[in-house]
Amino acid sequence: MSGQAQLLPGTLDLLILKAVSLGPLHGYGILLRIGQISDRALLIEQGALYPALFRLVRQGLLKATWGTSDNNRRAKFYELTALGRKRLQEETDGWNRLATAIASALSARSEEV
Amino acid sequence: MKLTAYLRSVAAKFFHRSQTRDEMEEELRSHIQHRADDLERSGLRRAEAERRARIEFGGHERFKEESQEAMGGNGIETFVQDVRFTLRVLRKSPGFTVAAVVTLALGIGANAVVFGVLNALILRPLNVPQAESLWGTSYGNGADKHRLPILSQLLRFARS
Repeated sequence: MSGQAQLLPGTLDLLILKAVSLGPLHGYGILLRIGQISDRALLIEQGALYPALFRLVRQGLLKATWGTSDNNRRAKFYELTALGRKRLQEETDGWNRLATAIASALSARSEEV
Repeated sequence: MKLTAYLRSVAAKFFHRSQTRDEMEEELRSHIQHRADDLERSGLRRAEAERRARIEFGGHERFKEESQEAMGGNGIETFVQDVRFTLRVLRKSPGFTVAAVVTLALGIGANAVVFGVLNALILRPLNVPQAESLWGTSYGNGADKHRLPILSQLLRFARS
């Protein structure tokens, strides 16, 4: 599909942290949230989400608890830990720095060199 | 006792592992159900929605394995899986298996023989000066046996 961006390695973790920072979500909810906040530009393969989630839990960035979803189904909800919040801030700053640097490099014109 | 404590910890690990696996299964099922709910709301029949949700979720098994790895190393389990896989492959191609086993057997056998000879001759000669002048003795046979004390026999031998 056009208009969809390929995810760079490492960005999935950042997107998950961001999605969860807006409120506790279960796995499927995280996918929907990422699609929503990226204007459907970033779609993640459904199964690929879980290895990333379990990794983040293991690193202590996310906390998981079982609860009941809006659909009245049992689901595991994820939320940020204090460590996760800190990591999100760091990664966001790093990403912004990188994006700015790349953007300015790519917009350079021959007369400026 | 140390051994029982160890066995208990191994058992606990296995138990905990299967528990986390059950939990993971339940989570993935829950995901598919939620997706199916959405599809159903968009107008599909429930059965069709669930089928579609499962297909969309993709390689269930692959992600399960990846997820288990992400959740924490599983040394024993991986090892057992590897051994099982090995046996399965070997059973599938008996010709190859036989060739490999025979090659290994001959190789190890030949090596052992050559090493045995070299070890005796070159690597570990007798630990005495002028080992080549060393003789073995045995005394008597038949009626002669044990008639002389060993020492006198040895002396006689030395004089001759």
